[in-house]
Formats: sequence, structure tokens, C-alpha cells
Amino acid sequence: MEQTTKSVNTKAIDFRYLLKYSGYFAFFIVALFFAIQSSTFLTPKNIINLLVQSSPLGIVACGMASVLIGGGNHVIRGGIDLSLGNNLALNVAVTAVLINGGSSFIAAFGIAFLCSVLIGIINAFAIVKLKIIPLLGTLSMMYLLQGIILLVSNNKVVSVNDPILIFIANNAFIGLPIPIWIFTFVGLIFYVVHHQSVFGNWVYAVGGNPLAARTAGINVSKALTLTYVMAAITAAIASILVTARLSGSVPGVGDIMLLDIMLAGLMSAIFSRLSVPNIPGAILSAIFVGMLSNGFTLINVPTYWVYAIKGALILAAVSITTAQQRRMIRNV
Amino acid sequence: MSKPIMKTTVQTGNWVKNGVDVTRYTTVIALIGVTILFSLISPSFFTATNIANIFSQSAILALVAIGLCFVVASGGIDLSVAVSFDLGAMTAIMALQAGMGWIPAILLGLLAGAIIGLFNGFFVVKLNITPFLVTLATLFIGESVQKIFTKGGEPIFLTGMDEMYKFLGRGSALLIYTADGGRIDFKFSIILAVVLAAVAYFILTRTIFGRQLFALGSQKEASYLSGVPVKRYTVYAFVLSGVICAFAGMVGSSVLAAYTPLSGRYYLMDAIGAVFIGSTLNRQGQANISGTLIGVLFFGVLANGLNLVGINFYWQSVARGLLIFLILGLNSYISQKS
Repeated sequence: MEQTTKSVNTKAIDFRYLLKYSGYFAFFIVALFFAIQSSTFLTPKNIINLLVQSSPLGIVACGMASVLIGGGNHVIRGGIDLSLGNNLALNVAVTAVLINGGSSFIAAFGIAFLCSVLIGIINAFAIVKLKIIPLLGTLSMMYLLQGIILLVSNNKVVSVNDPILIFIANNAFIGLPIPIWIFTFVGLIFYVVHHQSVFGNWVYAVGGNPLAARTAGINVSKALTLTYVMAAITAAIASILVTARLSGSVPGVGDIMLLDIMLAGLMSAIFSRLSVPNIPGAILSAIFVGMLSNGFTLINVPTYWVYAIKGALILAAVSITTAQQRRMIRNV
Repeated sequence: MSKPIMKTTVQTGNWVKNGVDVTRYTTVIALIGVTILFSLISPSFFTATNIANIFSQSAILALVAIGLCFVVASGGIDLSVAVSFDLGAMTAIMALQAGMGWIPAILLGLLAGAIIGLFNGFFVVKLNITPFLVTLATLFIGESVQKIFTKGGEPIFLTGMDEMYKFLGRGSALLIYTADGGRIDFKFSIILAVVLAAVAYFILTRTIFGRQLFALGSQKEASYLSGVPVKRYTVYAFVLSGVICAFAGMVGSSVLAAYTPLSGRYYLMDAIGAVFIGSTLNRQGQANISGTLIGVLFFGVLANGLNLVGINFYWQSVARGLLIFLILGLNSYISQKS
């Protein structure tokens, strides 16, 4: 009798152990497919290229994930920051315009960075103090930023030629380009903050049940405020990489990035056993999105099709994982 | 048994007068305030001609927002309204081009919307994925499908469009020529929007389906346990949203006499804004048709008024964001005070 229960138990544990990684399986299957289809996909050069391409998205995805963690998973009242895309674009525009106006990179980026932090604080104020639902508060911030970007950049391409930006775009450190180092650095900080620190536990608690968190003595307002400010800061950091890669500011960057940022943030849940947003998941999702664009270009899929396949694959990955996770949670 | 809770006038300070909660009407007051302001600045704002313009321009956004209302009422969100809008228009225009009459063309367009709604509903209900992610993926897929069908995004122009189809967006419901040569043109699309709003209002507030939709929007578990067919109704909400937005797309294509790919995205954020601004007018913060229409009108008045006052296009977006922010902030500030 004892033996049978024991064997059932081990089986269940094995099962869970595998399912815990189903998100990763989806990731590897897609990578494998590209590797088989294209001989250049798995070359170190292409992998580095892919990582460089996905680093701005990955950095902002960390910020989005922290907002999603702190805001909880309610569809309408849950945490979300729609202003992140345009926050990034504003930074790009401000930096580019100021550098063209003659200021140094440090000064220009410093001002842009302060703008970002201010945006984060205003978002947090609206959501925490005024109790506007995040979706709506950050939506109006998005409108506001769209206008400010038009004013700042005059709706034109502003190209910059700054030595520091050129250095970031073109140089490598121990074999890896600078953007990847920045990506790694930001990713590590967010990982430690959210998954290895007390603050991270607070944020998860606030997202899970704000009332319970408050009763347990957590400063809910402070935790929420910090997530929005941190998200805004990621947008500022990612803006350096975008400015460096585009060597300037291009109108409409923010609106294009927004959907990908949302996607990477929300998709992070498939890399988690309990289906909650998390930082490693956000980073992997960003790389996943980048991998799809990169891979489809390599195997010569017409660009019209790329978004359709991207959407379908993402749906497939998410549905398989969610279905399995649900089965597993029921087992627990 | 406790006393029946018939007339619980919520005494929340001076703001409640005769049971009417003034705090909720910040948006209405702001709408009236903005209208008065524009009328004072620009003499051509508060004229019959211009008011007809505002209503006609808002009709399409109103249709999209009404569609979105159903999904938001059920506690979800639908980012694929943009795609329903586009694919509805595309299907109908292609059907017309193939020589079909206006009725089958419109039906096909509606069918396209319904399919998108079913697709969303399937993934949300059967696989329990968050509606945000599902409809985002649908948005990606749908935009790609449009590019495939239009060779990368070329508009399809319709020469010699069916008269009835043209009437959807371009026909006038009430056309008055004033003595001094002015033209007051209330478009037929206003009537479409008003009728649809009335029907949607009736469905949401007066039918069992509508009430249960709100119930599952606010308490999914509780409504499931009390016998609401949660899954079926969620799918219905998505299908309704798809169909109505597809219809909005057809009206839009009729106005332009062409189908322009990826034009639905333009309405997406405004529709979300309108529905959620509207939800501040409701005591429980639920999506509702009358509030949504006020939100839509607010967007319409702002766009039109800022143009007439002569404010730079770049400043318009700033002004819009700032105003929405202020209204929402004021709204929650007042309601927290009381």
C-alpha cells in the first residue's frame, strides 16, 4: 500500500517537474525549427545579432513585468502601463534633439531620464493617490506623450552623430556588444529586486491581494509607486539603445513598440509555474519575440506573413502552456 | 430577516442631493464646460452646421465603442476591435468588388466580425488565456491578413459603389439648407449609431443576458456558482463586439468609398478611452452605453473644437491627454473626498 502511494507521488512530481518548464519547451522547439530551416540561425554572429535586436524590448519588458506583478492580474483593474512605448519614444526624441542643439550626451540623456522618472511619478500618483485604473491613467499619459513627442521632434527624423552613441552601437566588450551588457545588467538587477529581495515579495503580495498585503504591514502605495517609476526608468535606459541603433529619433517608434512591450510582459507568465508575470519570463519572451522576427527573416518568409505567424505561434505557445499549467494547478 | 433595503440613500456628504450622486458627473460637466469654452472662443463652433459635423464624425467611433462595451462589461478587454473593423470593411468591399449586392456584402462583413469574435472567445473561454494576450495576438494576425490580401497595405478604391452601401456612411438623414447657403448635414450614420446604442442599452440593462453579463464582469466565480453560463456569455460578448465593430468598419469604408488597411488602429485607443471614461459615470464603475456615448462625444468635441480654435495639431494630442487626465483626477479626487 505504502509503495503504491509512493510511486504515484513520484510520478506526480516528475509530471510537475516537466510542466514547470513547458514555456521553455515551446521556446526551444521554435528555436530548433529555425535552426533546422536555416543554417545561419545558430551561428554566434546571428545569436549576438538577435540579442542586440531584442535588448531594448527586453529591458522595457522587465519594467512592464514589474508593473504587471504589482498591479495584479485583473483584466480591467490590473496593473498595466500603456505609456511605456511613448515614454521610450519621448526619451529618444529629447536626447536626439538636445544633442543636435549642442549639449553633451550626458546632459541630454540626463534631462531625458528625469523626464522619464517624472512620467513614472505622475503615473504612480494617478494610480496610487487618485485611484484611477491603470489602464485609463496610463492611456491618457500615452495621449499626452504622443503630443509632447510631436512638439519636441516636430514630427521629423532627427539624426544624431554622437561619439558615445556610436560607441554603444558599434563596440563590444569581451566579445559581446554593449547593448547586450546593458540588457544583462538591467535584467540581473530586476531579477534580484523582484525574485531575491524582500521588496520583490512585497510587490508579489501587493499584486496578489492589496488588502491582505496592507494588513500584513506592507506599504502598498510605496511598492506600487516604485514599480511604475522602475518601469519608466527601464524605458529611459532602453531609449539609449534605440537612439544608438537608429542613430536618432524616428517618429512613431513608441506606438510600434507598445504592443511588443505588452506582449513580452504578459507572455512572461508562460515561463512561470503558477502563471504569474516574472522577470526571467519577460526577458525570455522578449528574446522569443525577437527570435521570431529574426528567424522568419532568415528563412525568407514574406514580411506580410510575419505578424500573422508571430500572432499564431504566440497564441499556440500560450495556450499549450496555460492548458498544462491549469491541469497541474488542479493536481496541486 | 433584515429590513428590505429599498431606499438606502447613500449619505456621502454634501455631494449627494436627492439621491443624485453629483460626483459621478465630472465628465458630463467637463463636456459642457469644454463646449461652452469653445463656443466662446470660436463663433463657428456652436452652429448647427458644426454640431451636425461633430455628430457625424463621432458616429463611427461610437459604433466601435458600443461594441467594445459588451466585452468590457463582461470583465474582459478586446484589442482586436481594430482588426474586426478592418476585416469587416475588407470583406464587404471585396464582396462588392466581386459583384455582389449590398445585402450579401454586409452580411459577409458581419460574418468576418463574428468569426474574429468566436476566435477570441474560444481562446479566452476554452484555454483560459487572459483576453489582453488573446486579442493582442488576434490584432497581429488580423493586421497581417490585411497586408496579405492588399499586397502590403494598398487601399482598395471602389468606383461605382453600390448606392445603398454608399448610403451607410455618406447618406444624409437630415439635410437642411439654411437661408445663407449653410449646409446642416446630419449623416445617416448618426441614426445607425443611435439605434445601435439604444439596442445595446436595452440588451445590457433590460435583458437577463445583459444583467448576467455585468454579474460575470464583477464576480466571475460567484456568477458561475449562481448558474450564469459564464463561458457562453463571454463568447457572446466577444462575438457581439466583433460584429458591431465590423459594421463600424463598413460604415467607415462607405464614408471613404474605399477600404484603407490598418485604419482600425486609429479607433482602438479612442474606443478604449471612451468606454472607460464612460465607466466613471457609473456608480460601480461598470461599462455603460450612455457614459460611453458621452466619452465618444467628448473626444469628438475636443478634436473638432481644438481644430476650430486653431490650435496646432501637435498640441491637440497634448491637450486631449491633459484634459482626460484632469477629468479623471478630479473625478476620483471628489469621490474620495465625499
